Amino acid sequence: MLSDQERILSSKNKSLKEAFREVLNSYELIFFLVKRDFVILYKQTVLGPIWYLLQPIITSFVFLIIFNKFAKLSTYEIPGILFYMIGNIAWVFFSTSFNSVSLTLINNADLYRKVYFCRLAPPIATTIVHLIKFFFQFLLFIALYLILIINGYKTKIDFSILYLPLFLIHLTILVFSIGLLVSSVTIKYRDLVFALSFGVQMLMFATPVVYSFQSIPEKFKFFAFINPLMPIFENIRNCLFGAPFIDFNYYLTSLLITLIVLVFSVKTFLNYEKSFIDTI
Amino acid sequence: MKLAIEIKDICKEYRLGTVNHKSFQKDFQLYLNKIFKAIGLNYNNNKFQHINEKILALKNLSLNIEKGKKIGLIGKNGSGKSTLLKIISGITAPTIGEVYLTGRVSSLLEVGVGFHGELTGRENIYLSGSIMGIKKNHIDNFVTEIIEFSEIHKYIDTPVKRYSSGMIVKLGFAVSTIFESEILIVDEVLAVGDKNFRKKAMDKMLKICEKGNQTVLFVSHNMDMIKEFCEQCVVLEKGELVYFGDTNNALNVYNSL
Repeated sequence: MLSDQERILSSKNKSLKEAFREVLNSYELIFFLVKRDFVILYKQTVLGPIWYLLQPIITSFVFLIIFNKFAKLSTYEIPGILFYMIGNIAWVFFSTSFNSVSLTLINNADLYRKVYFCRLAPPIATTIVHLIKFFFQFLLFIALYLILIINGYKTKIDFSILYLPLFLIHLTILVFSIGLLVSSVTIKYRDLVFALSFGVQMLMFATPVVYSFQSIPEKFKFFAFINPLMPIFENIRNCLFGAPFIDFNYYLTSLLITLIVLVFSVKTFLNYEKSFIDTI
Repeated sequence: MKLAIEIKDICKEYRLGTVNHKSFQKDFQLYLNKIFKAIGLNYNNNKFQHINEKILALKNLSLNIEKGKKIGLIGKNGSGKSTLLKIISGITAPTIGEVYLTGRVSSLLEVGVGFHGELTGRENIYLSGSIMGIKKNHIDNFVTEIIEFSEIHKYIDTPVKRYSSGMIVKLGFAVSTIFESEILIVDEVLAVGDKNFRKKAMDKMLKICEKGNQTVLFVSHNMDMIKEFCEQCVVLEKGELVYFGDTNNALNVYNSL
C-alpha cells in the first residue's frame, strides 16, 4: 500500500475530472458503504427485504381505489394496479433517495470529521442503496405483470422497453444531483431540509404518478418543460406498456436540465467539501 | 533528505458564534454586497460586521518535515495542534496556504473510524479499512493479523455493539496501525485500553518508529512518552510556531511558556 503519490492540500477546489477519478478509485468504499446500509436495515428482522414489497402493494391499491374508482382518472388501457404500482415505486425511489441524499452530509458528519476519504462516496452509496430497493420492488411489479398476462391481459409491450434502463439512469442522476445540491446548501442552514421534504410531497401531484400525461388539459402541458420529472415518469410507464412516448422535445428539455443540474451541483459540492466539517 | 510533509504558510480561520437568523442576515448582506460590487455599485453595509467574528487557529505556519522522522507536537490546549493535524490528514482545508504530502496519511486521531455497532467485527474491519483508503485484497491479507493483535478471536463475528469499550478500542487500534502508511498521526490514543494492551500498543508504536521509513506525528501531553518516541518536536503557541528542533530543547521551550 506504500505509494509515492504526492498530494497538495489547499483551499483550491478539485476539478470535475479529479473528482470523477477519485470516485472511480473509491468503488470499493462505495460498495462497503452500500453493504453497511443494507446490513443495518435488515439486522434483527426476520422477513428482511420483504417489508419493502408490502408497502407498494398497499399504496397501489389505495391509489387504484381513490384515483381510478372514485375520481375516475383514466389509466388509458393500462391495468390500474400496474399503472399505479410503477408510478408509485418510481416515486418512492425519487422521494426517499432525495431525502436521504440531502441528509448524507449531516448524517455522516461523524465519519467525515475523523478521516479523509472520497467525500462524494456516501451520497453515491445512498443513491445506490435506494436504487437496489427500487429493483426489489420492480421485481414485484414484473411478477404482478406476468400474473395479469396469464389471466388474459393483452399487453402491447414492444421493443421500446429497451429504453427503460436509460430512463432509470436519467432519473437516478437527476435525484442524485438535486439531493447533492441540497446537501451542500444545508451544511450551514438546515431550513431547506424541512421546506423541501414538504415540497417533494407536493411535487408528486405535479408529476404523472397517479394520472397520465394525456389527462392533463392542453393548456397545462407546458409544465413538462418546467418539471423534468414529468417526461421521465411518463416515459418509464409508457415504455413498459408499449404506449407512445411523450413528445421528444419535453424529454430533451428534461435531459438538458438534468445535465446542467448535475454539473452545477457537483461544482457546488466541490466548493463546500474542503472545509464543510467546520460548519456542519 | 526527502520531505514527507511540506507546509507552506498556512492559516486556518474559524468563525465564532452560532448559526442563526443573524448569521444568515450577515451572509445575505455579504452576498448582496458582492452582487452590488459586480454590477459596479459601491454599496457597503456593515451593519452585521460584529456577528460571527473570525479567529485564526493557525497563523502563517510553515514547516518542513523530513521523511522517516518521528516528530512530537506539543503545545497547550488551544494552541492549534488538532487543527494542524486535521489539515494534514485532509479533513479540512487550510484557509490560506498549501500542504504538500507524499504518500498516504493514516491517523489515530480517533480509533474505530466508521465502526458501526450493528456490524460484526469482521465487517467493521473491511468498512473501516476501505474508509481509510485500503484496497479490499490488501485488507484480506491482514484480517488474521488484526484479529490476533486485537485479541478478539471469539467475538469477531458478533456485532460490535455487544463488545466492551476496551474491545472496540483494541480492534480500532489494530485496524488503524496494521495497514502501513507513509505518514502516521497519533493523538493520545494510548491512554485507553487495559494495561497489557497499552504495553502492546506501545511496542507496536516503537516497532513502527524503529523501522524508520514511516513519518510519525505524535501528539501528547505526556512528556515522558514524547521523550521516548520523538527525535524532534514542534512547539505551538496560539497558532504560531514557537520552536522546531531537538526534543530536549523543545521541552525546555514548552515548559517556559
